[in-house]
Amino acid sequence: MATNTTLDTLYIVNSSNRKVTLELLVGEEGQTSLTNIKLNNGSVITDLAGNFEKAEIGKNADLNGKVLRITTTIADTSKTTNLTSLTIKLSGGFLTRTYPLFKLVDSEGESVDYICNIEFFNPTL
Amino acid sequence: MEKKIYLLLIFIACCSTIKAQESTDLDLLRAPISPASNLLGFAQSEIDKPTDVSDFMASIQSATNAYTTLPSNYAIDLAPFWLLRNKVNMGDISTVGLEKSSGKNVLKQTLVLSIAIKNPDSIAAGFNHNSTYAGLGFRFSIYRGDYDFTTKQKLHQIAELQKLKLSFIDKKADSIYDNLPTEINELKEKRKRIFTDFDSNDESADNIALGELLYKKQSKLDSIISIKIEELFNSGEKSEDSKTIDDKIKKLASEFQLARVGFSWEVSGGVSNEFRQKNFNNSKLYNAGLWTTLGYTWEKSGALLGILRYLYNPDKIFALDDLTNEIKNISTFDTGLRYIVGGPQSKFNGSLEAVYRSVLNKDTYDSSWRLMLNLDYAVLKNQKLTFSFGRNYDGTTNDDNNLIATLGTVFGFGNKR
Repeated sequence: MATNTTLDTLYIVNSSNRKVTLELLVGEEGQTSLTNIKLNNGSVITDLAGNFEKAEIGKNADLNGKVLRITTTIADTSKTTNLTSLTIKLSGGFLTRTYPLFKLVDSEGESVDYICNIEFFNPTL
Repeated sequence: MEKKIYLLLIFIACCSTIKAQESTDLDLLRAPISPASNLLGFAQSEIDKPTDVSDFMASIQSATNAYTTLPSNYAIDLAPFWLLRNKVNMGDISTVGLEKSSGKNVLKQTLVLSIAIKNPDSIAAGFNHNSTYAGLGFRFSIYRGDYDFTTKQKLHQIAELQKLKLSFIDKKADSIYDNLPTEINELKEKRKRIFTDFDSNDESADNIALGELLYKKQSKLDSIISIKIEELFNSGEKSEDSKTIDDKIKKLASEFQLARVGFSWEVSGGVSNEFRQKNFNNSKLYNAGLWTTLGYTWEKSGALLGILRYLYNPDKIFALDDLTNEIKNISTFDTGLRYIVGGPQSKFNGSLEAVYRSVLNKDTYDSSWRLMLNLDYAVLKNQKLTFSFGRNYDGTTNDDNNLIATLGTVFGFGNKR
């Protein structure tokens, strides 16, 4: 099974004051995760267990050039699956984007580390 | 100690009068896992439990002979929340999200719909072999209890190790991004050039379509850059500290069991119809039931469970299990208590249960009760030695045939989960 644990991408924003929101979904059933989220060098949240509920991270006009760094580690504590997954949803920019990341571990108890680097980019500037 | 308990169970069983019974319910107070299948007498092993839509379609295809006939003898349990996991907003299903004891999500996560169809053969007791039977049932929890101390402690230990691990990951990620090779920086610049002259302030349909196309082009470069960064991340020797943390997390996580204590409340129900002469225009209610199980589980001193159960046309007329119900249109109401000794994660468990059955709409039958002792010991993760011992009473004294005892082993093959 193909794996996808690293994400490096651009998220297109514009010059409006519309809010950009972030949501993180950690799966699968019964797994144990911890996440750090940083925007440039400022911490959005540290040592978050489980999902990150949809929340504003800034306005389009303010985000150009900034980098969102998400690091998550997931331990497979699930008795039903060995698949770990992290889904990142960004909305409010030019388009809504969903980034699915996943990895199947070989044996129960193993951990998977996810590293995501998302640069906000306004091509009109 | 464990060896002694094991030997003691074998000894008790050998000294007991073992009476073979075709179907002895060992824990009457447990509400059926699959209500509709239970009403129509299906064994647990006969019930399909698809975990995703593909499994479900395969199950239907097999039962209907590739969609050409109606299922003949078929029982299925569907958990809509888990079955449609990719189609619905699941919310938080990690160990943090599953911690909640009650609420909307608990109802959704624990809901099971049970469907069963039976075309009995001529030797099936209690069924007319010229009829077709169909049942529909449900089960859900209103309260499912809180994590026990061991579960919380292990989750806390894992979280502390994960904090340390994340600090290593963050440092490494910072170091990689601060010193990106020229090749990757050039690819990143190339990626930005895809959007040259693109106006992200124009949100017309045409421009959005153009944006989608450019995103597709961008995603190819995203993949190349991500793979190169992953290679950098995985390159070099892992530090001893990092290896130790990984080993500790793996040990804790592989042994992790999610166990609950505190108040629990579960509701189940089901109804089945008999279609005479296998004709769907000629039907009558065959049997029905509504159960609720309330309980409280303590950390160390066991659990107390209570059940209230209404049954219409139960398969047994008395609480004892050796007299089949030959009377029709009868309703019974059961109240029961069960005390279980042993913690949620202990190897040895014992329980004492009592059931009192009242016949609601026939004066001919007195109320009856039953008492049962069950013991079980988990020899291995998937192997259990079980022992049951009981006495039941139907209003007439009979000293000879009301003692039952069974010794059994339950083996699970394959994965030791």
